[in-house]
Amino acid sequence: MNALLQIGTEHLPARFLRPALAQLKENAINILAENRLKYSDLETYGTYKKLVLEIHNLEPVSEDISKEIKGPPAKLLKDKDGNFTLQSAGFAAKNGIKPEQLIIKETDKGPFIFADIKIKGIKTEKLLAIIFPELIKSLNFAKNMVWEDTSFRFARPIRSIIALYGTKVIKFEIAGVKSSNKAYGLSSFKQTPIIIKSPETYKDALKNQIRPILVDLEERKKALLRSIEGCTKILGYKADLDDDLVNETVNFTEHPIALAGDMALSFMKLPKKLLTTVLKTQIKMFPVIDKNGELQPHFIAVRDGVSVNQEEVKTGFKNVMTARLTDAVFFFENDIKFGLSKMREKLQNINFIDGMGTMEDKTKRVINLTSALAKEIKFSAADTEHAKEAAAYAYADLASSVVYEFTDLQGYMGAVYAQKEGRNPAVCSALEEFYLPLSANAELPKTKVGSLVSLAGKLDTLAANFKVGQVPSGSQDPYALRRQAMGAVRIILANNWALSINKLLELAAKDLPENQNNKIAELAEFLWQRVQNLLEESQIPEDIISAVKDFDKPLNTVFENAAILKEQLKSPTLQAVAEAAKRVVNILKQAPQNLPALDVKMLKEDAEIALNKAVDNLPEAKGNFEDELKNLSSLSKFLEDFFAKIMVNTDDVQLKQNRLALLLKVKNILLKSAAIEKLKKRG
Amino acid sequence: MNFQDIIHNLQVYWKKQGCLVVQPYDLEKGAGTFNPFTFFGSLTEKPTSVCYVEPCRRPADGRYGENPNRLGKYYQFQVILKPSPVNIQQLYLNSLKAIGLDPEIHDVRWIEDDWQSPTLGASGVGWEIWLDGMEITQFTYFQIMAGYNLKPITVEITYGLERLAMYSQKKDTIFDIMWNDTTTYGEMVMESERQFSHYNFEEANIAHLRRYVEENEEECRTLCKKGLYLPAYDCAMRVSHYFNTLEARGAISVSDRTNIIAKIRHLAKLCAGEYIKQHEGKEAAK
Repeated sequence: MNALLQIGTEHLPARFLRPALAQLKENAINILAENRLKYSDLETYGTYKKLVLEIHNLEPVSEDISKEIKGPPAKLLKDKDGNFTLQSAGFAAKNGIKPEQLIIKETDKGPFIFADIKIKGIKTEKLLAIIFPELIKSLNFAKNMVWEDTSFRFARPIRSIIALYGTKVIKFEIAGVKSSNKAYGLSSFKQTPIIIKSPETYKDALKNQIRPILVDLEERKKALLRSIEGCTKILGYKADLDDDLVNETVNFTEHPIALAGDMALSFMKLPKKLLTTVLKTQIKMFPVIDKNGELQPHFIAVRDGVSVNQEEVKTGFKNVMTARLTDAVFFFENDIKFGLSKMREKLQNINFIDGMGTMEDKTKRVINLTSALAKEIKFSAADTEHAKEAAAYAYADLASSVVYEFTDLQGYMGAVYAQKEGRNPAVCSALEEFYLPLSANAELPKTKVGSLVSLAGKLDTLAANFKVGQVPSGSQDPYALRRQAMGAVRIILANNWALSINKLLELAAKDLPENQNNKIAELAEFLWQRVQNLLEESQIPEDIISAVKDFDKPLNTVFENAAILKEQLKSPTLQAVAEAAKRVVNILKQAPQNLPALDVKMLKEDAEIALNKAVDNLPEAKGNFEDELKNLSSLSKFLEDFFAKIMVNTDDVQLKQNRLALLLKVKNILLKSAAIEKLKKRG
Repeated sequence: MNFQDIIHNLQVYWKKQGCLVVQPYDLEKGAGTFNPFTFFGSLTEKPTSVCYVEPCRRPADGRYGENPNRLGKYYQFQVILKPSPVNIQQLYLNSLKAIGLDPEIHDVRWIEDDWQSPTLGASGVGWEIWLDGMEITQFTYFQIMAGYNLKPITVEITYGLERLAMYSQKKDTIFDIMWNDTTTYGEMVMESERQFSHYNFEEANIAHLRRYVEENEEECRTLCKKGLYLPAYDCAMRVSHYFNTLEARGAISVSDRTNIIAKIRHLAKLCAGEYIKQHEGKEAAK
């Protein structure tokens, strides 16, 4: 038989729906397992007014338990007076039986006390009356409320509960609501109950009524897209189907129905993203575009459940849209009159982070950092000038009315204003790209000027946060520093810039004010973590990553070296050298600190003379990592010979010390290009 | 439907639901929630159901009567119910029918919007309600008032009367709303909007206002100590209004702002504490 739980609520916040359904599913799986209830499968789905769990082929009785649990040794069963000991009585109580029921059994280690547990399965019907309310209680939301006498906490008031096992109602009460078999239709209509006869009829019962409700999210999404397409087809265009807005719309409707309206042409002069942001975020409408993605003077609004009175509703939507867009035009035109220079002046009044000055202070630092980085990577004079100009206005739009209203448009609006002011296209695109990438894997700035300014902005944010001791830990990363660090590293690699972690730190820390909570030293390792993540993503094994870890080498070189080392390690010769390096390092660990210098004359055995000579005769690699590794490989046979024939730890102290000195020389050569002693043995 | 008919019909509707229809409280306030029926009414266990029109003054929002969507003074219709009835959403939707807006043929949406008032130390959970995309009502289950966790929970429904009228009458500007069949909203309020904008933005005497703030704060504390929480709360409301005027006048810095808001919140808490103390005393005496 199937089981169904429906939590009927007042309108849940749209953003709560999917997390709640995921939790409901996970918690149901766990609680059914805890109660030893078998079933074939289960699913959750719903709307912002209905959270539904459907369990298929749920067995009528939970499983029996029959098992023996081993306890303390048999001698602890009773004391000398024949009473049960504390240990045995405690063991019995822990397993829910009486001490008299304990048994003694022989084991390999002698006789022990055992609890012989036999628990009969319980009727599912009975268990569900406990499990269902537990499940409702188990749901956590980002924010909860109370609304009735028992002070039950949930995201929004619960107003009805359906609890069925087969055709039978599982009875319980929670938050003052008694379970039943009654579902309710769209909230704007008279609330006449719809009787749900059994779990498997639930979805259809809600769908097959005069005003259908689509409880399945996928089905609702299909209906939404179909309905939108119906509207746009007539117009000859299509909708800008933003994923977030599609999902949000699916989340806050029970049966989405689209309607199309038109927009005054005068609004088309607004920057495209500003217009679409107003539509999507403020009034949840879909913009309309042609086949080239060009915005068209129309809108698609979505209503819930009904399609009567469309004309009047459409006029209502249009008026709201007109009012919002009129506001946007007002803000936009004011900003243009104001201009980027005046906006930047206002940055003096906007705090960056406590202890690190205002956004104007940050701007000045980012200009300097941009300029220093440009020098480091040998930017042309023209590129450097453009980058500095972009840095000077990178934060200016934060003081604009439009960005104040729509934070997401930062950067984009700066670019729009820069274009209106006739600034160089390189500056404009740099402003637009300044905040990229928006997530760990998202798109990077495309232009090199944009990349550099974006890098400088991120480095300053990172360094400033670390300087005041704000270092992300665990899930605590309120300033999204991990994302910023990842962005910085990816930008450097994508542009193949020769910048080392230590160089970045040196330049970024230069202009920062002093702070007593300074943790900037931790930034190197923090940045390396991102490098490591990227290396892992490109299938570089962990030990190779450790071997190439280097804060003084340019990041692009570190990356190349990792790939080269991975490739070269296919050769058993290099693997053998790595093993030998490990051995050298281990031997030297026990060596005294101040070894005398190597005395070549004291080398007697062929193997040590040959090794020394081989080291001396290595051809110059001129910083070419591949050649360096080849050099190392060429030492393989000498190392092998050395360890086969030479005893380093001889009783002759002088001889021993000289051999250690030789090994030190060898070590410096072996570990010069990479920490190859960290490489694992390859099979 | 005329502006005055909307008010009348809402009153008749909620009267039928058992609400006490009371008159606006005669002091300046920024939102209906400041009304003592709402503020004190939500604090204790005694059931409440009351509705009223509440004029609200937001000095900084005035635009000399020149912006078709902005007013320095406007009207809210408030319904306060405690405990919150289980069919409260339905009761609300039916109230829309009572003013000629049938939810069955319009798009009524409940959009997450949790309310809070830092000055009252209050917060709640609820929605803004959109009618064909236009925000017409704020619907809140109070959770905290003056820093106190509430039980039972009060539900507050706040209708934006001008928005409702604009929608109902299909007007593009607030000033074109018909107050009755012959008089427009503009004719009723335009001169007041103009004059009060001049006062709030240019003429209000900053030194006087600061003094009023201090005097009323002092008086509020004194009255609370004497158990006179009602006149004390009047003083707290005045502090709040003078603060709003100072802000419109551009006389409040960022740190000032935080301080005064904390001050008002503290006064509200004093009044609430005194009310709870006396009310619980009465309950115990019964």
